[in-house]
Amino acid sequence: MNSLKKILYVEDQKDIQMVVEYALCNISDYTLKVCSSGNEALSEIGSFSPDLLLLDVMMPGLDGPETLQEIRKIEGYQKTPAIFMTAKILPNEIDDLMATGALAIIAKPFDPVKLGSEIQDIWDKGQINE
Amino acid sequence: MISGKIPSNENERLVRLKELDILDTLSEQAYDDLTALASKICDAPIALVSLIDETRQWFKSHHGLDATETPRELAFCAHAINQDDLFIIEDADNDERFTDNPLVTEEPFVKFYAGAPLVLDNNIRVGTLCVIDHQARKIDDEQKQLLAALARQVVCLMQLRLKIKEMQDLDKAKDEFLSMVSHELRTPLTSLKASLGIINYKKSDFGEELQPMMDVAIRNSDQLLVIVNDILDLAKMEAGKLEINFEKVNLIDLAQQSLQLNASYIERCTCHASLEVEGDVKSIYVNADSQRLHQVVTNFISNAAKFSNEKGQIILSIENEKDYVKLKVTDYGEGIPLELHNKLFVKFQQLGNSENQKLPGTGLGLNISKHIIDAHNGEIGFESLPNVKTTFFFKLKKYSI
Repeated sequence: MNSLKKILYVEDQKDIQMVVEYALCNISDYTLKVCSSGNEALSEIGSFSPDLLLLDVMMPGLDGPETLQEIRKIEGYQKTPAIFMTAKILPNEIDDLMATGALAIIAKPFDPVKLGSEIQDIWDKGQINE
Repeated sequence: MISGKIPSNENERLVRLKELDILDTLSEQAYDDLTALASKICDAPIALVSLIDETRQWFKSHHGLDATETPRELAFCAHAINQDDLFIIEDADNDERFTDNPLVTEEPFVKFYAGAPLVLDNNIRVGTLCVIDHQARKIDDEQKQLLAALARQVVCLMQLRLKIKEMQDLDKAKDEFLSMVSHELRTPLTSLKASLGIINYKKSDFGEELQPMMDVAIRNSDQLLVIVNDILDLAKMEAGKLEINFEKVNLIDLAQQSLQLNASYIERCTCHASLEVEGDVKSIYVNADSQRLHQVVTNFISNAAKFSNEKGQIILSIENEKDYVKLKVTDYGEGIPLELHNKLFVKFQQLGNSENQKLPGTGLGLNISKHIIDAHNGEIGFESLPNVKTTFFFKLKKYSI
């Protein structure tokens, strides 16, 4: 079973970036690469080589699902597990997101103290299902 | 040949026509009925609803004629839209404006024409309801009056069309607003709640003195989220878009979980809550959306806690009734005055006032609960004996294959 260390996190809202970074790096102990746009993620992913993708959904430019779609085209990242974070809560929106091949969806607002363990649980379940 | 002159309010006229969004649309029975009536009443083989844009007349309805449009410069109707009353040509061959018009000399051989303008907003004539015959003739007064009356009916249809469009635009605006509330309000709330959560996690850094302030901030941001979610739920329900994801749910587990989830709230109201299951069974299944049922039970519990006396008892109970199961939440507080009994499930209806309410609400909770239980084909209700005992309940059919 692979262990989860490096998370590539894409989010356009600086404030949310800050709290997620604190939650995942200070409360939990992951290595995080924060990107403010889909395009930044595409150019950073190669040098960072993440274990997991954590993506906001609504962003200017490439949105979350589009970013994932582009990342999937890059050699070596066709199967990197991805999690969406979204304030969208309508069931059909959730279904649409899951249809993009995401591992799970974390609803915003989220509990920062539990965010790390929530992501770890999702990761562990994904490893079992591999 | 002389073409109809351009009306003085042409720009305004074209704007209104564009708003109607009617050009090149499919035929509609309602318009076709009116041209059929006009043809019959005026004893004329052709009747048209003609609309004049920059370059052509286009027929929303064409009774007795195959063509769907003609150039504007040839149109009799382009003359008709310059006056309020009927425009009548009894013999086109003897009128210098039309004698060499191809519509007169060739198919469809228009000799007689009577057109009633379609007038919107007092002075905007977008087109006509007209009748045409292949021979020179007259039209009597009664026919003139009835043709004008039918033209007014065409205008009514158009006004209805504008109203429907307006409603659709409003509905779209509402959907966009819903999406805005969902995203734009929840985004700052996400940052707020998450940063408060982190500060609270590191509470040792700011000392005990500030903990009550921290609690205030967290509680109120939680409350704000509840309100945003309530408003979203309501909007979804109004639009008929509340989705229920049915699954097999153990109502006893659900009640226990609801109690746990609301433990801090109950404690804050200085109440004590317990669960009683009839017959001491461990499971009673229903076909339901567990998240939505949690919402209803939470609403019942928070209402009970809110309106309980100090150190009040709240009792959740589950009762078996043959094919049905009933979940009840009982408190022993002030209860609901008789005059409010029929207002309880109405939205924005708040019980009590700021003085006796320990905690604020949106007045949406029971309305949403009723929507949810209705969507489960269940029954929701209450019994209240003020200052003695108040019970809210819902009743659902038990799960069966």
